[in-house]
Amino acid sequence: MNRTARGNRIGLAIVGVLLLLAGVAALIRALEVMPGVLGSADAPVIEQPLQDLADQPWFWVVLAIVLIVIAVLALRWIGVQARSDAVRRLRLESDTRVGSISMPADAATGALEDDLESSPYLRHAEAGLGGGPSRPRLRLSVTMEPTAEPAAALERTHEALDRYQQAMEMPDAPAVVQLCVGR
Amino acid sequence: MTTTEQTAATEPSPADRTGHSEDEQAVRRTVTRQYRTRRTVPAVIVALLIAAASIVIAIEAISRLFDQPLGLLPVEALGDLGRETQWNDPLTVTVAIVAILLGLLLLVLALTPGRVRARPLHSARPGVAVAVAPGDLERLAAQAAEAVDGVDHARASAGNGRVSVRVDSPLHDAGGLDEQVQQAVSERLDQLGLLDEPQVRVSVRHRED
Repeated sequence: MNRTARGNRIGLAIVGVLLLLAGVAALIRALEVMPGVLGSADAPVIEQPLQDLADQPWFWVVLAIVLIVIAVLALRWIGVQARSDAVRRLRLESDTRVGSISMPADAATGALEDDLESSPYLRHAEAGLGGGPSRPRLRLSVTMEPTAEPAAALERTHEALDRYQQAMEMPDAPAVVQLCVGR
Repeated sequence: MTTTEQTAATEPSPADRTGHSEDEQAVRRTVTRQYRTRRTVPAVIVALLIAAASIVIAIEAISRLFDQPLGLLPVEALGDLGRETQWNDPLTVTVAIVAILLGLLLLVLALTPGRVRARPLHSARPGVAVAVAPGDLERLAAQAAEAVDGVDHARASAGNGRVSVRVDSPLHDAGGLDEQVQQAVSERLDQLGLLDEPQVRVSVRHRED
């Protein structure tokens, strides 16, 4: 599971548990299951102690600060959805004694896309790299022509991948390929 | 035009179920990791609601500190409502039940694995995982069916371990068409090399009058 997916699940679980606990507590009080602990069911929702609290100016200061913190956290939660592990530069020489050689990732993925799109079976290709810069994972989406045979389209994709791996001198670079079917 | 339906289906193939090689397992793992739902939609909805509510209430609270209430929220009316409503009021109980149901829904979304939006294919190369989305599988099946003579229009839906194809035919005598379509679709899908070969079901609607 990637970081964003895990974060989303943790966030949903926290909000879910809070809603569940609040709802159960209110229901227990309304049904007078534990009047000794939570108070009587006939009491108003806003009682005098809470009213006194709301009359203090510092109550609103604390409330505003807490809410601003929550708002910032919630906005950050939305912000990380666009987070990606995209690699922009590829490191070709990992031995630091001889210096480092790198190239833009676009150059490698662009050549692969051109190779794939030159095939009569394939209409469109989109490649991207993710993970670490020395052993990046290739993410490839290829759209085959509706008239093409799937076996031929897949074979052509594998050939292009072989050429890409040879050119990059990464014979077993990991790749995830999504095959799409054109309309 | 009256229509009758005929159906054909492949037997689920027991082959390939037992011999899961290590490469196959790796492909399955990679595809599952890559295409498992990230729960982005519920996360963004919940985060937006929390952010919007917090900001509005915070602004209202700050404006009250400076004795210049903006009136974004009916604070007085809500205060009166809270003072007049008892805990055992139907309104309180309803709100509590809604909160419980919402909380349970969010917990289910957080804890259940959710759908994987792609099906893994056999891969000839180690380290390379190939997958196809259900929508593309459906399009492929429908296109294969429409290529059969006597088929006007085809629609496919990919479900749990099977692909169902509905075919419209202008023919009066559509005998055997279901089997032809079923064979054409199966051949097309075979070429993909899905790790879990789906059962193909075909139903044909044709003219009777």
